[in-house]
Amino acid sequence: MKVVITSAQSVLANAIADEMADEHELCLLESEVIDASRSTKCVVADHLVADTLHAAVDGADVLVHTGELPLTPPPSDAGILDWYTRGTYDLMAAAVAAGIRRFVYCGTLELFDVYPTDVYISEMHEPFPPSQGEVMWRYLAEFIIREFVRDHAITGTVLRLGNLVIQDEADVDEPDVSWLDPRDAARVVNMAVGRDASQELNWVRRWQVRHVCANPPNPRFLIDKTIQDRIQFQFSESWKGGHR
Amino acid sequence: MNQEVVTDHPQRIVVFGACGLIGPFITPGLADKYDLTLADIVEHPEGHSILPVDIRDANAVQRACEGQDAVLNLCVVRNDPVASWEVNTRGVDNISRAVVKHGIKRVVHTGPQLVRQWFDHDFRVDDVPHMPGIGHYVLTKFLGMEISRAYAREHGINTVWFLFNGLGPKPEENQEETSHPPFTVVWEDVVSACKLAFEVENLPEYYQWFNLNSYLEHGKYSIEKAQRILGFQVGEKVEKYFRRPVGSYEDQ
Repeated sequence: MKVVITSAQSVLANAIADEMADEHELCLLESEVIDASRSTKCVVADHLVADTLHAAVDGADVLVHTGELPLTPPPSDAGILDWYTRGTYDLMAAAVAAGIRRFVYCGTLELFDVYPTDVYISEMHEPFPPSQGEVMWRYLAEFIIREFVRDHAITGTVLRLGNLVIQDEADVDEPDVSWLDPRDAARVVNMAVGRDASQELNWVRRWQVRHVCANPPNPRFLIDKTIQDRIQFQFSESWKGGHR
Repeated sequence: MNQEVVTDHPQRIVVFGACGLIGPFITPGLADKYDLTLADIVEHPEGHSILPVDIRDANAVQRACEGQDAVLNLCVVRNDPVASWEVNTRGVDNISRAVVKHGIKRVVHTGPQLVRQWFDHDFRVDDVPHMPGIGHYVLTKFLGMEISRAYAREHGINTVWFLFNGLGPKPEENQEETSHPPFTVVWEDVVSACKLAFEVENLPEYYQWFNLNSYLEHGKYSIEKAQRILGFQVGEKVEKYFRRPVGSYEDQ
């Protein structure tokens, strides 16, 4: 399949591209020219300039919106809010108009930071984003994609990712129950790309939200089994000290 | 959530978007109780003094909120693909930041109904999950609601959203061979609802939205939530302006 990946220079997008390069034809979307060492198409586009998005999504089958800011992010909070909201809207509109039917969006598990630490968190829990900052704005983009899924025969999957840390670089003295290696995130994104419920008449089946992180000994986030099976980096060394 | 009761009652209210399609019709009814500062980017249709404020300008909004006890946000841009985001979504963020900075504890916003697209075939529709769809106007307002909800929760700001479909004056005479409009509120009821919102002490989760409707005879769109939480009641039963003459033909 032809897969568009946004904010291609981010750690997450790089991991996704590495994971998918052998299976899919990739189009990397970034705010400025990037080093295209791999044999992929690269498109310079600004989510806030709708006209630049059409070339990026033309002919694609899947859009992976990493939720990561571009290499050159907007310079102010207002600009970043616009980027996550209007930018996501314009990206979705361009992609739907281009005939893309599968969408994967990467959100964040930080939506649940306000819950007491002894609460098991699942996708059934209501998110409580802080009023300001990227966690909130990234969450708003979830709503935008959900509404496109409701209004169009497309498949939307939101993957709320844990704290992205490369296992070998993790601080073993302060383990985090939401750690997720970007390579595992990429594997789960690749799995989600394969989901196609676009023919379902009921929009609820076209839309899916999944939480994604490693599986520590005493997990806070309850992760779907199909996702757990994709996780290879469990940060086991960090949990040997009996952290809870 | 351990919620504190917001007991202060506002005196000074800044009204953003005061010269639009709603402001000029409801601010006279609020002015008898509150000291209003009318803010907008256009002139008032009746020539009232206006504080020039574009809610896209965070600094201007901050200045306008200084010394105020409450905010009434009537701003809207409907279907412009850029300005709708700037006003309906980011504008609410600007207002919310200003409200936090100045310690204001009461905000009333207005927005579009968010249920007709999916529930027009149902009855007694009131407190249902919102499904805004992808129209710029409704979706951008909906995102503004989500932003204000987070501020309300974090900072204990009593935040009310009134959601409208149709708004207008009461009919002046009987309307024959037609029924009353669905989901429509008359100006007098908007005024009374705003007053209740500015005075309510126990607002669940500091944040609630209410559908406003004066014509209840259809039984389709309910205002039960506004009645229960705000104590809102419609004033005049305006359905009476939509009555067919009855009696014998000789009588007519």
